[in-house]
Amino acid sequence: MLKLGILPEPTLLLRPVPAFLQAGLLQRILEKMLDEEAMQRFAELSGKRFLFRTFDDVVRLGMTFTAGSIRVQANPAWNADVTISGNLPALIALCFSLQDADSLFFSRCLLLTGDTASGLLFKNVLANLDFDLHEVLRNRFGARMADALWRMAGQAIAGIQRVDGDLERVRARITKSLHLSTTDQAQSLRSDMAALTGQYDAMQHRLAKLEKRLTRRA
Amino acid sequence: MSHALHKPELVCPAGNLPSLKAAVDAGGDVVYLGFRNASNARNFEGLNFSAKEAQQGIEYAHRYGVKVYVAVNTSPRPGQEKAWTSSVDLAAQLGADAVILSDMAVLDYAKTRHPSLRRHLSVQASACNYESLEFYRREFGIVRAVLPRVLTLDDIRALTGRTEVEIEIFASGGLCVMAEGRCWLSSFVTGDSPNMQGVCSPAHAVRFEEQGETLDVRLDGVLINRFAPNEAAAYPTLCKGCFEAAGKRGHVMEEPYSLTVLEMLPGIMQAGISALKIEGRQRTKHYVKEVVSVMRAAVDACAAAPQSYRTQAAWLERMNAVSEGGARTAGAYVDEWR
Repeated sequence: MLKLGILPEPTLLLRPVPAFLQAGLLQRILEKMLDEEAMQRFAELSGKRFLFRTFDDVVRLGMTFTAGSIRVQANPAWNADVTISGNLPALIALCFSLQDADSLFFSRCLLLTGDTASGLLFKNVLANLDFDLHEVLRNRFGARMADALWRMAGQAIAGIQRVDGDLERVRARITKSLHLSTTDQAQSLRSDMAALTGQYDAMQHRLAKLEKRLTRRA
Repeated sequence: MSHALHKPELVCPAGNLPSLKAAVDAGGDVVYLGFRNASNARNFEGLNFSAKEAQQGIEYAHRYGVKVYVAVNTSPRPGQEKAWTSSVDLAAQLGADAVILSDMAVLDYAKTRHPSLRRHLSVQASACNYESLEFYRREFGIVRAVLPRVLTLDDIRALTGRTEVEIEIFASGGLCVMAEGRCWLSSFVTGDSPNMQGVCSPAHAVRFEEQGETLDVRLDGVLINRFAPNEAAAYPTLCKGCFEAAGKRGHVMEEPYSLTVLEMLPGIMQAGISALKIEGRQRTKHYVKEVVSVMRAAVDACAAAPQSYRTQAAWLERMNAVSEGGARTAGAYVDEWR
């Protein structure tokens, strides 16, 4: 998880996608995912305004609820009642119930601020959906295509998480170096920074390679 | 008194239908659940079962030979008894295999109105000695008791050697300050307690606030924890808050550890215990699937060859990955804590 703002979030996948398209896509997926009963349960959140954002603010999607419908909008101007921040894989995992949501919050890949009760209700309504994205893909595209898509998505998320972890280690070293307090250690800091710059360049190179590979596959 | 090795029932949590199915599919023997009101001790927003969902869940479980227990294990306030008695009626009507109760009035109601429905004594009743179990057996006909997490394995062995009541103990999940069913700590801050409202940290009182790189957690405005950057967090409860005492800052009441009995299964299975309970109705289907799968594999391995049973590192890794607090403990079952 990156929160210092020194290094980029791995949201490279969505950077080229205009915000209104991100919102439209999520809106369509939710409409497909949620049946009438599920929509009714979200109605308990009527009047509540949710903001989903990546830690680097590349993605900022608002969500509002009324009886029987959910509205997603890009970069909303209003103040949210609940904000769920996270790295991109964790936000995707939350929305599509791909991983244990609590573990994502405990590990601080996700952060809930604002009205906790509404946030918890949202999490539990999602958890109550008998939704299996893999199964949906199999029904939509057939087993072979769906399995291939599933493997690709898994590799992409694992790749992003690996890069994210590498960047986090670099970030930790930078933070540690910045905490050195005496001038006597300036030399040590300089050599550390030189090493870190090398590692940072290597990370950027790996990110670019991953982006190219994913674009090619898409 | 020593016991032959007994393979206990695996009693698994479900806060919603997908979790119930995950528990059944992962090899649970029993699933326990609660209805969507304050009658059970996991009364969180959006959690638990409507009557229709409970019916679907019970049908699904029974189709695969898995039993369903319904927890009605909090205490009604005066004038609000109907929600509790209705929950017992609904459990009976839907064909639940047992009800898990703690309040004496609710126990009496279940015994009188539904004499053939098995009654289990909840951990919330905090019964931890032979005389107490005998009282509940004699007066309310309980057939099983879930023991509070205050006893050592030796204490439990002594109980199973005397009582006719089946004994169920906790096998994994979050721990509390060991005053189960009698804890009022959170009510001093939030006004709510697990005994009456079914939740010790009601979400309406919880706030997470970013303060630069640190994360502050407040309960009804009271700062109860401050997490360092990237430090693992947990759902906040007052007992697991971080406080200053005698000039030191730390978890003065309870460490945020998770219980696991994996490493002591042979001893547990020789103690005459009837069932192992997995905590976590508030968790998702992914947690339930992971923990039930690990416990199923471990209990089966231990039953098949207790002498050569060894806890697999992979089991512990899988449990740690989903556990709250990130560290594990054998809790009070080992006597070092006394």
